[in-house]
Amino acid sequence: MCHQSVGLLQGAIEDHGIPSISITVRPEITAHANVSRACYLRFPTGNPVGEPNKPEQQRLILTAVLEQFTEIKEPGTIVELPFRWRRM
Amino acid sequence: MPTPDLDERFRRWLKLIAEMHDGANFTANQTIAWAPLRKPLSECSVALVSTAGVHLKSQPAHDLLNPHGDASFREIPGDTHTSNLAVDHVHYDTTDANKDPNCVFPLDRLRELVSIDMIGSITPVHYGFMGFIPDGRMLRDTTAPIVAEQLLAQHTDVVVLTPG
Repeated sequence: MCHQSVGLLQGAIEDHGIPSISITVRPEITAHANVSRACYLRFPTGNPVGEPNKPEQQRLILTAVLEQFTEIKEPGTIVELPFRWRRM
Repeated sequence: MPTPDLDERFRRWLKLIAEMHDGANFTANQTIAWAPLRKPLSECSVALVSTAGVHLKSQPAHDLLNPHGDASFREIPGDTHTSNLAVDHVHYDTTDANKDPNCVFPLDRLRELVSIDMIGSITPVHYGFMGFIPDGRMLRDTTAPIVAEQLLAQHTDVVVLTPG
């Protein structure tokens, strides 16, 4: 349900003229939420930006997300980012 | 990008929330609003908005027991030390997020991106919601526009949103 809420907040923010991007780990919800730009990570809920105390991984993810601002041209695009969940 | 597989997973999720939560109402944006990026990221002021249940330890947690959810928000100053953040939510495992709030609310990482000039700055205030809001209209019609107005007033150029 967090993803429904993200979608509604993102819609309100874009409606106010501010560009936005969201991270999703539940693309089936985000795909129906009508959001401008989203990045899909095959990560568990609770870890949309990666593992705890892995600043390097988190920074790479956040950088990749921000870079999508210049890549995504089409409203409603969800891009899967090439990170894999590997924690044992 | 709805695909047959995602559509099926979405239908299963809708059924599940209808069974679990009285009054659940999936609410989507009517249309896809689109604001273009107007300047390079290196000149942008960036804000975080999360539905993971992030708040300052000095602020009250969201109402986790209300069956109708809690659409209120917490203002998180941009200079907050992440050790002063707590993450409360009953619909996902918050263990990792409480060990390191950057898992769901990457404020430290955003500040690092300012220091290497990838982004221009971060906004004075960021926003924490708790995303369990079964009837999305409550969020859409009340606090979502308030936060959008506050982001505008802070001259926010870009917003990054994270779920739990």
